[in-house]
Amino acid sequence: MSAQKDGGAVIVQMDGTLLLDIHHPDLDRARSVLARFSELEKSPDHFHTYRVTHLSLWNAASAGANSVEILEELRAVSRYEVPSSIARFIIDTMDRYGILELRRDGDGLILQSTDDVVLMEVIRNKTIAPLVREVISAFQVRVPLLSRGTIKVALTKLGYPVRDLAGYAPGEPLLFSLMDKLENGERFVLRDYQIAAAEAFHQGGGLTGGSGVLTLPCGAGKTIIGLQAMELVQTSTLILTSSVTAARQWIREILDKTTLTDTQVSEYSGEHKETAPVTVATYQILSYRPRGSEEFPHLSLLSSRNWGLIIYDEVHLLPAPVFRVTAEIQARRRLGLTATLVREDGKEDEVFSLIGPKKFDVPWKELEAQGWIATAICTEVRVALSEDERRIYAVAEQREKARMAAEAVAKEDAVIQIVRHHSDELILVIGQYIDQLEHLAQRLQAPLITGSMRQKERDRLYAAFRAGEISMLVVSKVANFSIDLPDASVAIQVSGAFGSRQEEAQRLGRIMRPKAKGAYAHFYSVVTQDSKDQEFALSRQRFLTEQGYEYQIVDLAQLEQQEALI
Amino acid sequence: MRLSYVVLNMPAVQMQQIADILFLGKLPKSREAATALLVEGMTSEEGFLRLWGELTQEERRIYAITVFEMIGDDYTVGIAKSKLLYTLETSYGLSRDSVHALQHLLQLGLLSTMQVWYAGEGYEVPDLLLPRVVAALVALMPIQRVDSDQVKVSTQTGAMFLHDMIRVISHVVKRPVLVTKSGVVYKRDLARLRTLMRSHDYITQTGPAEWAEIPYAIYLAFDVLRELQILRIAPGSLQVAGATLEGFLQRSLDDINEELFSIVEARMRQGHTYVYQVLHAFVSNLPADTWVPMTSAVAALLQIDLARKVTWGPSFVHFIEVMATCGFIDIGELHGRDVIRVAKRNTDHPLHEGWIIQPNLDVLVPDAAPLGVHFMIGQLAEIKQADEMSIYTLKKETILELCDKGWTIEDIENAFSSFSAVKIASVVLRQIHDWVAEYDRAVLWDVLLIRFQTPALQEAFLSHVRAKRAVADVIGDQAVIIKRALEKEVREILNELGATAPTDVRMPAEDAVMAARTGRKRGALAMSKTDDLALSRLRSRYVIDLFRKTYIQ
Repeated sequence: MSAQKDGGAVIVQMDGTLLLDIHHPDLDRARSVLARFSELEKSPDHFHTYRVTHLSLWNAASAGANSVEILEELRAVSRYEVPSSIARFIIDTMDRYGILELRRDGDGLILQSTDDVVLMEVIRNKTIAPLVREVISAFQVRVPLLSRGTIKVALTKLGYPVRDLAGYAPGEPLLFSLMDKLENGERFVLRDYQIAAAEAFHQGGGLTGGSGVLTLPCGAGKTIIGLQAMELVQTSTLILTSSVTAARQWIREILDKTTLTDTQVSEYSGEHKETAPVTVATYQILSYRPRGSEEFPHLSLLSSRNWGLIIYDEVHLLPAPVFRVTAEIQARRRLGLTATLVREDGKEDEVFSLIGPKKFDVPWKELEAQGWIATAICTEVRVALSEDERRIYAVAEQREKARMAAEAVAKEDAVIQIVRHHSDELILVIGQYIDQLEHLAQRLQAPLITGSMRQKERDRLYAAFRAGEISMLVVSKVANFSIDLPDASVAIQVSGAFGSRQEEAQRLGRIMRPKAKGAYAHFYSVVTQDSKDQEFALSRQRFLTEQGYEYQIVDLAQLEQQEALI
Repeated sequence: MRLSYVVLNMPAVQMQQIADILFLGKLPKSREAATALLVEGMTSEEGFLRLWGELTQEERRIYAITVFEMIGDDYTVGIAKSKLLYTLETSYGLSRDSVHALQHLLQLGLLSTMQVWYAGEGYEVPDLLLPRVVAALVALMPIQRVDSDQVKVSTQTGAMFLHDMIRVISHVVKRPVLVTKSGVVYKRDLARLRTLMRSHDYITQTGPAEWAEIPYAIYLAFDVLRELQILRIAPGSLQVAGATLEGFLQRSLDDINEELFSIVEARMRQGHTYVYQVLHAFVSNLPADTWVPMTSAVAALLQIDLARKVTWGPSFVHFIEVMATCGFIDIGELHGRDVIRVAKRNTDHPLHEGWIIQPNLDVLVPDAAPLGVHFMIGQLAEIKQADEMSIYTLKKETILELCDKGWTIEDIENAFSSFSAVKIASVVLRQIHDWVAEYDRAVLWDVLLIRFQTPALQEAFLSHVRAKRAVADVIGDQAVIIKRALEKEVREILNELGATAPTDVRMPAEDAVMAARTGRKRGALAMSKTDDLALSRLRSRYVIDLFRKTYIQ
């Protein structure tokens, strides 16, 4: 299947992966073709890897693309003939989207199809059959309004994703607008891609808009896009976030960048349980269940008010109970925001069915080139165990070895060295082990934030860091997610969760906001050589280079030399 | 059946009738002489054409069908008369009168009778006539050219199968592959072999006989490697002829393909063997750059409806699949039907298609890379997936294995950079350096240790003039480490000292059991000493220069 064509930029593999030659003159065109119907998996130097999946093709179909044009475009940028099995897969999969449609009909829903055989097949499915109230014709059946989510999930699993044209409840009206000027006097202007992303979700208020997921890299301003989406819809909104800190950041942004006042915005968390036209809650509070109880008392929040829009921040973290309730509130507009659609539990298809198809995706390289996110340089700094440590390490149990390597004494010297190297920048020192972090905080004379610190105190320290009053924070894993520290440009990772890829991405995300001076963001990982730490570092290296970040390995001595040169 | 035997057993009248057709005049009285004369006449081009000219259109059609319907085993190729008549009637719409045509074919010696087990009388084609028959049938197959611009290429494998074989042999050289006593690869190894090969998805059938549960392409790869004498499939193990492999990797693609073409054709001797031969000859005669609907050509020969099911249908499909998989033909699609053409060959080795080393330690190898590159990357990295762009990954274990073979860090860097199409990222080089640096921090030595009964005996041994060369180290006052290679000399010294050592070299109990268990497999990989040396070369740093000379000069 490998007829040589005229050297296109894309190589289509038999397993559905697409390799994009990033040194090819036709790179930009090829990249925009692939972005329409495939997911970027890896972006190391030389060749990027995309993957064609059912979901990626259905996302494309929901955005209006058809299989013929997708195949033509793919053939136009392919280096060799597209394997017939892949062409067949694209046609078969895409052509299934939209065979079935859901429409509103009085108090119920109509599930209809242009293909009577397909309709007959799906209504005999054991999940869907009990939901069919009436067979209107060979092409239409009536189903209950409340089973909208269940039907959508079941049809996606059956391989016939339904086009949901049943519309949305308008919600309580909420009139407001985005500010032109911020409190500090700066002009507030949305970036082009932020406007495009919000519009891709809204689609002019038509039936095809109003639900979907926007995928943008860390630091691209997903909160701002959420605000723009809210302004387009002008309705009461529930925002679900991954932590209290993130919830408060949303509130701060809403109050700072919109005409909404603090009486119109409230926090629903462990500490406060108020609702307002705009309510910001956390996944933790929604999925909280008292010991011994089977009920989730706070899940009623989702239906307690006539919400017109629900925003799911970090949608890849959406917990199972929230999924279940989301299935019941399909008449609300739903916006998912994330940097990655990859879920550890593999429930991407439920995100597709219940939140909506991916509506917008912008590669971070593009934003980096435009200066909207910082250019990150990842450096692995190798340190050695001391003679004493090595002796103890040699006879330690496997589990202990990992911890011993992570807490090697020489790491502290390395951190101090790196801090000295970036003395005029805002620095985050991130780690896993509290003892190590306490020690470091003491030596660096920097405040330490851990899970045991009260939220108020954490917020105060974050605010002081943002304001530039503190130039360095030592933080535990509580700072992994959704902490907006715009001017932090250096992150030093001293220990982590055994090479967890998600942790890596999130920690790096803390420093990806564009820098005022246009400087680089530096992500250091201090690693103990010839130890478990180095093994974990190898998977980190693979991950970060696959994400397209520049990665280098230096010894502490080399780092000292570099500093001397500077 | 032998043609001479068929002729010898003909009645004299029939022999003379054939002689008349061949314008041989009156046959000699001696049956042997007459037979020899007839065989010579019938197998000559002119003579065969005279016999062929005796057939009506209908008889030629029935003859072609008979040839297509014949089934082969290891000994004969033929068809039972009852089965043939039934097939002629049901599949080809011919009446029972076809028996007259068959009778005529028998009279002309173009068919001979045979006995088919449990089925009675049957027909076969006399051996020496077969090449003429095949050629005559191919001449009846029209070459309908179609508009090339309209054809959409659906299968064009190029050197895919060849590269699959190279990946397989590179794997076998690196890691021992065990086979059953019948010489078949174990099913547990199939997943690994599938990773190495792309072609297993292209052929629907499985292998013949003992290979019945193995995908045909995998069987074919091993069988071709065996036929090329690169691999010897012995009961229980595979042996590699290093010297032949070394030469093979330096041969031109044209040369290899020519040999491959004939080997593959010879593999298809089971089932409808004559169908394969006719189709093979048809493909060999096709003009270059011409797309033809092969099904139509066969349909025209046999005058059958294309939609009709025929017993040789699966063989026809198998032939097309094998030919396309091995890169001899391309398959295209025109208005919903398949067309084929003879594949074009890449005769040069495009070295610019070297590998691409990504910073995440993946190595991408384009299928268009030279053979040697495909072989060498198999030694330097571990394959993840064979594809249009095969993906390998660098692993510590592989790099350390190279160190075992005497590669230095410079050699490894040199190998990676010599065949790389891009500059290698510093992070990759650093990673390789780190692995190599770990290599000899602690080393296990395989040496001999002598334990002396008394310190005095050790002293006497050490003071012996010839012992100096043999001693590697002294441990305490009653033990000495000596070089294994000088065992014989050490024994002589001990003899001279009056301390003759037992013939058996002692080892710890567990080691003794293990050695007894595994000793048989040791060194079984290579077929001979020459092969062993050649294999060592292919696994050593010298391979860089070898392939450099082949591809760069």
